[in-house]
Amino acid sequence: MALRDVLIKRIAQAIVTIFIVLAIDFVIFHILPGDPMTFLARNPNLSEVAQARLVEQFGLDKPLWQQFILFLGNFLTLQLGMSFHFRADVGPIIMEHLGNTLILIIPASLVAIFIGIWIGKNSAWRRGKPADFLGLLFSLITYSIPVFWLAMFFIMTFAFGLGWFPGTPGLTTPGMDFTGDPFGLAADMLSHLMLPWTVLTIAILGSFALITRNALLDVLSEDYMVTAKAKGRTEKEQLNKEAMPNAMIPITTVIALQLGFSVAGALQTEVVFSYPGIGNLIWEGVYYRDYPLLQAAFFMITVVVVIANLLADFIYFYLDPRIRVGAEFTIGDEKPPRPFSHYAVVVIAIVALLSTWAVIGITTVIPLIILLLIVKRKDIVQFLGRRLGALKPANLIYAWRNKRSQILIQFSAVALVVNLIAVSIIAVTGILSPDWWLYWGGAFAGLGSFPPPLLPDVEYSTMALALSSIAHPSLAQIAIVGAVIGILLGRRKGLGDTFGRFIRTRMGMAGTAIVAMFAGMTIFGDIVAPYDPEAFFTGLLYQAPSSMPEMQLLMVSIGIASALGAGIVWLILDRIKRPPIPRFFVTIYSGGLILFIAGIFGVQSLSLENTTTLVFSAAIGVIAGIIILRGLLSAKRNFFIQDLKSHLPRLVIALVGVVSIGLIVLGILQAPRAVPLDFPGNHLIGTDQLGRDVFSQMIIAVRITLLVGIVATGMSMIIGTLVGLVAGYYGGIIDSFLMRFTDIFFVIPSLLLMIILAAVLGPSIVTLILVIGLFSWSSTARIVRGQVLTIKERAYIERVRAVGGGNVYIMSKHVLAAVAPLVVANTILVTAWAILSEVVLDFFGLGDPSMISWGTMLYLAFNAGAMSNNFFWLVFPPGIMVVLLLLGVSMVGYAMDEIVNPKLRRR
Amino acid sequence: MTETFSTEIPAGQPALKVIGLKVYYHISQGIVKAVDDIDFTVGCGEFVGLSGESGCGKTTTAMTLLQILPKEGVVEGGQAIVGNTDILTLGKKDMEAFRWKGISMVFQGAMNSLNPVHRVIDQMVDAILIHEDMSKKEAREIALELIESVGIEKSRARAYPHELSGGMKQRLMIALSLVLHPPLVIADEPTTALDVMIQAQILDLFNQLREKTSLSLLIITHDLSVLAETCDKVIIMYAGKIVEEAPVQILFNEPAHPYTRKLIASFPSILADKEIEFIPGNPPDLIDPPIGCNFHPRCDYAIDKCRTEDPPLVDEGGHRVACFRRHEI
Repeated sequence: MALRDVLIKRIAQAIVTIFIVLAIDFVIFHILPGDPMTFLARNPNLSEVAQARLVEQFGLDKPLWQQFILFLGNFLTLQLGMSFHFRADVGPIIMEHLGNTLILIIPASLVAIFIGIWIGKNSAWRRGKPADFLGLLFSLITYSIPVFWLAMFFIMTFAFGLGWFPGTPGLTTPGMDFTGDPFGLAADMLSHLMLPWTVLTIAILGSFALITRNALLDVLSEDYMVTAKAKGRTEKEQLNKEAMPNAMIPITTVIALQLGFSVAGALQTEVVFSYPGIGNLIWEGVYYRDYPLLQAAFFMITVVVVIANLLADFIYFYLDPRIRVGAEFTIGDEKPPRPFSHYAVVVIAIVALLSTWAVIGITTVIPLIILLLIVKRKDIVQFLGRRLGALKPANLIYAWRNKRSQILIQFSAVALVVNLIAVSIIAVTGILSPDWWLYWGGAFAGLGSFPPPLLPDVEYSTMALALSSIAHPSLAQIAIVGAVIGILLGRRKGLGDTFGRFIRTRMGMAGTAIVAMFAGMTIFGDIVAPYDPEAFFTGLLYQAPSSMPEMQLLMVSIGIASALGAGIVWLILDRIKRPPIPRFFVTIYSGGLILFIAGIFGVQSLSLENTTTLVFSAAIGVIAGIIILRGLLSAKRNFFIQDLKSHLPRLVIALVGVVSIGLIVLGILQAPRAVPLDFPGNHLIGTDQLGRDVFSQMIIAVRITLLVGIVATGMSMIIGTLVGLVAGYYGGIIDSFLMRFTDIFFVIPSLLLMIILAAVLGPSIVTLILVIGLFSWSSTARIVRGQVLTIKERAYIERVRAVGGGNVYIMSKHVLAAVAPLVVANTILVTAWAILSEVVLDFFGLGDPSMISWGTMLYLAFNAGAMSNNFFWLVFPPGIMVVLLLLGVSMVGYAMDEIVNPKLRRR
Repeated sequence: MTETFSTEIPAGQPALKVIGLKVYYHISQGIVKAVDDIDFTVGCGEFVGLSGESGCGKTTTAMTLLQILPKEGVVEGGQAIVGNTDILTLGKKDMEAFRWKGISMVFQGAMNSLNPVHRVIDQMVDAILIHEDMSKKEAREIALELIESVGIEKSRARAYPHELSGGMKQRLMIALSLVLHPPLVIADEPTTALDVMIQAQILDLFNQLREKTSLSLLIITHDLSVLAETCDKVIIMYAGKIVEEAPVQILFNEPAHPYTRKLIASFPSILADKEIEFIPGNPPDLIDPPIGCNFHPRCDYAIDKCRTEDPPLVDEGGHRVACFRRHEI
């Protein structure tokens, strides 16, 4: 593949991307309820003349396909329509703001790339050492901070608090005249730009550091690095002259693909700083529902990102001699590159267009499904036969004797299949009601009610009604839970080993602790929150945080002090080489800790008479009991009394640890209730603009965030895994089509797309889940595909094929099983991304306003002027919660990745 | 450059002398005794073969000599003397200066041992410039000469590794190892993963080098035919220990250790119509090696003494064997 061909291919790809972006833009605009004509007519901001001009320009009275062609023509010639809000042509407005955005984004990106690469480089080179841990921690924290929150934090601290920077919004101080004073203007602009630059740099450098670290770790395990060392190169030279030139190749591509992420960061920064860039424009567009503005902004930003990507590609080709200097003859173990076909691009373009059109009407999918059912009927019958065959008595008896977990898995599988068949029959035939599946999906995701109301005046057959009970979403939920439990039980040993390795990494342990804390908050929120989080006027409006009652303050401070002290002593003991702590001791200790906390929650539940949380604390107590019992059993085998003496200091410290954590939890639980809850009451973190208790809101909000995060992740994992699996397994044209499609989703700033789509669809939690789920799968698809490519070449896959396994069988039984660990690790990282997206969408006012979430809290605080009024208690707590949760989740993800990712295994 | 060591080998001294070398890997499952108390010498101009099953410590020995062990590997004791210096005591800076200048190495899988983003000639020039104080032009000339001497046209020197075939890469790797004329070159599996024709080219190259230069070479391989073809002396290792060392003729004609016998018998021969034997069982667990002779669980001739005592490596006229029953079997 010569350089010219590659370049042509990339340019063609960029053109296809822009084309698809236009298609998406068009489709989004047309999802709007009601036709554009009436929509225009309802808009009071536009004169009759302007409306008529728009109708003519975009052919709004013509059939859809003609509109599309006109739309393409208009946008490609940069006639972007008329803003509803500004009552002017969108084009010049966008251009002016785009320039400002570039002023913000380019310096920040350059600095971030520079620092990020430096951090990532040092982290990778000192892998596993404290410097690596620090670098990784710093990167993960900056990666976890929602950019808008960081911006709010900086403004409150450095502009309003310390007064280092002007607090006035915009690029220049309003009301000042700088004509004839270019230096004064420059100084003023710089002082306004400093903070946004800093915020954006910090926000994006984390991801660059992580990318560099990963790429470099890959390179460092290569053979030529050993050669470099053996040649007598110094460590610095090994890193800078041998490793970095190789690592820069993947780093440039991934950094280019991350540009969308930087753009999303810039948009948030602009909004908070009221910086006159395109992000602010989008904020206003969302606020006023100015669709032409959003449409054009999305188009322009994507074009900029695509062009930037193209440039990065050229750099990439320059860096990699394998592409720059075409191979004259290929080497045995490398496959000759596939000849580039122009025809493939055309096919890709057509199919991509069709697939975007398919979004308009789900109706087109249903005939396709029916067709698929007819064509594949043999496979389906075979599949069903296999599922049912597993339940034959002989099989069941065998399974009972040998592998009991299999029975659970098989029963769950049959239940799920039966349920899904019933669902599809009802959905396809529409016998109950056309929007039945919407209710089903909602109930399956844990939202909304089921069953949906039956249509009036319709006679239902008993058959249909019976079907509906088989198709109940809770059956599917139970089946999935059953299957998961079965799989977990069946692989107890392997999972135990992996978990053991995972929990012994510093990061895994810290992450698990944080995530466990939030899980506890989700379950026990009701008994932790002192007030009804939705109750208005529980206190004064904007009531500042009250001080803790003395008794509880004492408890908490003693707890924190002794926990810190114990930690320090523990670290010192670790330093002077004590004998390693026996495993059973750790097991018993952690079991005891869990039991203790469960006990506290149990008592609290009893005193508040909350049965649900009581049951939960009992269950957690039982689990803790089992852990302790197992620890004791293994202690009986391994414990010698003389060991006790050498471990005694540690035992004491551990005990102190338990007690101090207990004190902290107890203190926080009791503090709000220690004084009367009557008006104006005691509010640990104050109240908001409606007099709601912020502490209670902060606790309850975790539920919505986690719900959206997890369901959306589930969606994107299913899509991503399927796409990656099919692309990697089948290869060829299917692969190139699917991967190009994935690349497009990678390039488009997905957060922006989510914002616009959510704005069009209207704020609701289902919308949030849908948009996040639909646009977060691209990284999963890539990772899965890469792994599938290596697995499908393995001998055992050939063996299965030789024995007669079909493609679907091989994919589901063998390939999927082999990529599963990687998918799990990736799931966790995608969850972090989904949660971050949810928070940002909420901040843009696109969350369900009736549901409390951290993002919505920050949105309300921002709109209430929390920054200039210094209502820090409205801004800091939700943000810190988001950062902590994301940090915990991504730490778990990274620790998992470290263990299961074959590329990262140490040599 | 002021160096605390000299890579000049005094006359009559061996190029390398290893005494009581112990290298253990500290991994989470325990301590792996990968190399456990071995002694050997490589004479000046001598070609020595080091062989044994996979995992018996051959590559670990080589990596120890250049101190390029992974961080789990720890040198627990012993000396490796080049010239008058124990290279295992060299500090970080000195070691960096010593590598390639004192000992260079041809790596297992030369396919991936050349950096893909640098031209081959630049990689060789770099290696020279790291150690020698000369101009780039002079270094280029030395490199080009060497490239030609391994049978590759000068015009191919400006190629990137991906533009070369496997055999060419391996030959260039050998040229790279020779750029500084080190007293000792280690070749770790130089012919594995190459097809038979290229193997023959590489072996031929080694033999030419032996005739033309004063090179000392330590060849590590599990392929006995390579040893028979090129070496003066062969060392057989088993489970981290040397079990037999002898001149090549003696080793192949009169192997004394039961393991060596099995190893030779298990090698297929094209001409002789012999039964291929194999060694039952697996190499021992090096975390918890058997008491007594490491080989006794798999040995046909084991007696009670073998199960309790570790046989010493006894030298009889240059033929060293670690077996109690060397004269009985």
